[in-house]
Amino acid sequence: MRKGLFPSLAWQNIRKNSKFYLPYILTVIGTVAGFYIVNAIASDEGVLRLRGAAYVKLMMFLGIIIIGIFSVIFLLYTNSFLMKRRKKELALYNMLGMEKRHIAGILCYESLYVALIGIAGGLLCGILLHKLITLALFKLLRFDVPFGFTISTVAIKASVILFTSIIVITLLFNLVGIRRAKPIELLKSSSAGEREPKSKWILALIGVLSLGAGYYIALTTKSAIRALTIYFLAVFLVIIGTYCLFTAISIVVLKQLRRNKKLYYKTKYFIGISGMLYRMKRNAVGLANICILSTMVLVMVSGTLSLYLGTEDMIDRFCPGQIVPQITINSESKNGFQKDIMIEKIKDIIEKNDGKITQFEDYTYLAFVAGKGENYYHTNIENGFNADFAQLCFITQEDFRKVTGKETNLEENEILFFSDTMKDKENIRIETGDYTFDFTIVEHLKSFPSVGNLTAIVDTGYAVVKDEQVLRALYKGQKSAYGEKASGLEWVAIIDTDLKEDDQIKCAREIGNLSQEDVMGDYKGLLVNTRAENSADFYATSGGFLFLGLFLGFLFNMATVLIIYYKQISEGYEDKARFEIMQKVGLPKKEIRCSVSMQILIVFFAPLAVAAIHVAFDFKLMVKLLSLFYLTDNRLTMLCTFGTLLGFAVIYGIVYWLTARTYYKIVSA
Amino acid sequence: MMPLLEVKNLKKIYTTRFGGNHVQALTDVSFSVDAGEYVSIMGESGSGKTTLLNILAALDKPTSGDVLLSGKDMTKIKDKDISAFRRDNIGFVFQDFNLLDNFSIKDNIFLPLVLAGKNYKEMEQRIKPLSEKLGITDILNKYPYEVSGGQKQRTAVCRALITNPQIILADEPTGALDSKSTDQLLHLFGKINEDGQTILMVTHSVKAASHAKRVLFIKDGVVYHQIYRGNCSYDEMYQKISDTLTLLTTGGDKNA
Repeated sequence: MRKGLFPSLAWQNIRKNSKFYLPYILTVIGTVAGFYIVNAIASDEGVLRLRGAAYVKLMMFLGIIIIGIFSVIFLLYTNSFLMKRRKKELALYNMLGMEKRHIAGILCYESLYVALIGIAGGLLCGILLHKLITLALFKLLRFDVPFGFTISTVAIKASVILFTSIIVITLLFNLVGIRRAKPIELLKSSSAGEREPKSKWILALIGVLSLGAGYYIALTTKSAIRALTIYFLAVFLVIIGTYCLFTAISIVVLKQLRRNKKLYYKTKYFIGISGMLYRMKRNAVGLANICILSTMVLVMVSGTLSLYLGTEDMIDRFCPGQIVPQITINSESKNGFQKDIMIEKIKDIIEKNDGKITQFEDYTYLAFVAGKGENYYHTNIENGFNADFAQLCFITQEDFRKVTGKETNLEENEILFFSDTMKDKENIRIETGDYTFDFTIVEHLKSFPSVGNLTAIVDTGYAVVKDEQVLRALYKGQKSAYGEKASGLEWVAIIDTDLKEDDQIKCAREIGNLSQEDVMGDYKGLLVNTRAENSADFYATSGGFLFLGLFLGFLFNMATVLIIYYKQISEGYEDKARFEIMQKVGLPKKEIRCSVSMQILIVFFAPLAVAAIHVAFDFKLMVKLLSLFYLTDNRLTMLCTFGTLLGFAVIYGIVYWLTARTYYKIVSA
Repeated sequence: MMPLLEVKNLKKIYTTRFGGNHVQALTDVSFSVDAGEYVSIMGESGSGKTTLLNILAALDKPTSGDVLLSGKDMTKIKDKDISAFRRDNIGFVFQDFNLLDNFSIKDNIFLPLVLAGKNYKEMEQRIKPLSEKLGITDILNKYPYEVSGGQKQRTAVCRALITNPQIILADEPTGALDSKSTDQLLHLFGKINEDGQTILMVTHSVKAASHAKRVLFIKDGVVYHQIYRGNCSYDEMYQKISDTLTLLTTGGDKNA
């Protein structure tokens, strides 16, 4: 064969098949750019010198792995779509006398072009966008933005190696496919009669059950720890349910609809129902994949978004002042903790650093874990991790007044109480080892301020008691039950000053060194949190999460959209003949358009709608999980979820519009 | 009596997209078909048969000329009404059956009725006698890929007849059938025609054409010749058509 023929034929093929090749090449460009950017950020030495960079680096490393795996799977998948469409064309070459090795030659050149355009284009986009995305990332992380424009050779190398290998692998797949194929089969491949799908009742039943079970778990899980352990079970059930929903339940429902003769033999439903049956049979798994992918994106983006937007709130809860010392006190010791001297020493340190205290609050609390009964708590929890256990936290009414300003006048056996699970009780009993306390709940509080570094990982009951006497009695009680493992009383101070961040950190260090002196008595530990340091860490984590969430969300979104586009377009070619027949039998063009848009609408938005339902059920679980990160603003999470869903739907809508147009053009051509 | 179908001075010129080349598919075609007739149109490839059929089926518009069905000018019907007109008045039988493979045989037959918005009871009433006549009652619940070519074509005939159309247009109906199925189908067409159904068939199979009562020959875009069966047997008709075709080819050469 003539030498220049392969390259020119290959180039022509790409151009003629641009409807399929263009999205494919764009995908390559997009994934290459994404991979390059994450790689470049991870290997940027400037980033690594910043505070909280360890987290960022970890996130980016995660990102590299996820995007790498994703690229391999996704490019192989789109390539298989492409080849399916082109089978006929390649078979024709074969029939016309081209040998298989010639076809292989053409395919090699095509891959070469795709690789060149895709990787070069991707790197170019990546390099250009890198700066922009770094700026955005730094903004998210609250890092100072560095100047300069860098090109990361490490990232370029990694991208070129990865994507060249992916394209070589796809080429090998295609070559093997060509080798095995017989031209006659290829020419006929799409005209083979399509068998009608069967109703799979058992699978449908399994689907309904596992969806129901998954949703039930999501709705009934009470504590965050439980949510963490059970989350994957729920996800697993819902994934199974989703596959069954699309493969079996949809067909069972459509077939039942078809049984209803009066409904079925209406113009609107006649074409729609039988068309959907046909479509569901071939696309069910694809739609289920899209649905799960979309759910992942929605959960990921809304979760990371609310985490990020709630960062300030999280920091507030975790570290309510600029400097927060916390001391665990052993109250039985004779050489007790001398609170007043401690406060004096702290004040001295701040003054020595030329600071002025603008706010100083301190309180003492007791927190311990207890088993939970109908309307009582107990300390017999030797048999380890049990679903029915809770955390109890006690504070005196005087300290409560200091923190919240609420005046109360409690008797010895009276408390104010806050708990998610004991809202309707009037009395509670607390059995701790040798002692039993009976409390009357005077008032159920609507909310409770954050206490020390307690998280609401498990169901937590907060109680305000009369005075330190009661607190000490409770301490003694749990000490008698837990012995060595008992909690101590915790003393916490919340200090705000007019110092700069670096000076705040310096003061905190000096306060920490007080643990070397014996004024504290038999202290167990002194922990000094600063807002400045926590803030950097929190933003590095939540910003990194958000960045990854958005970045991966964007990539996954691109993937789902492309899968749908390919599906619709290739279906368009198959539907063309069908619509021609219907037109000959008397189906007006207007109704063709109508029926087309309805079917595409369903295929497009069914996965999104199901994903939205999944997310709605997942919401409670997500809120629980976010509480592990000190995020408790449910309204914010709700808003973020809605916002994400809306954004997602808008992107979807645009792609739907484009696809429906192309599809209609193919069908009515 | 007014003829059922009247074709007057039909002309169709195809123009390439940028207006460069003109191809004259139909030059000047005129003929008429009375109610209850069984007419075949014959011609070689490229003689304009398919163009003519497409225009008769209102799938294409002529450059000039009229097509009257029961006195109504089909070329003047508005685009949005054309589908309804087609499905109420014309029944189609195609060479490659044109059945939808995602519908059962029964649903394929119902398709035009569903499009016309008929209710299910009426559909059932109509399909019963027809499917018995065509011998497809047993396969009504099967799917197109499960039945033979002859059965598919009879399904298509059933679909064409179920709307009680004024005329059946058949485009090479025997083209994809074996000889036995061809005989069956042609026999069926004869029977339907005896019951009063008007049939217009386009074919280049001499055998198929020989079953018609009248055969029109098209060449170079005009109706060149026609022969009537009268009292001839199928074999005599077959001979007559063959002779005409031979004459047409050689005679055409002389004219050229």
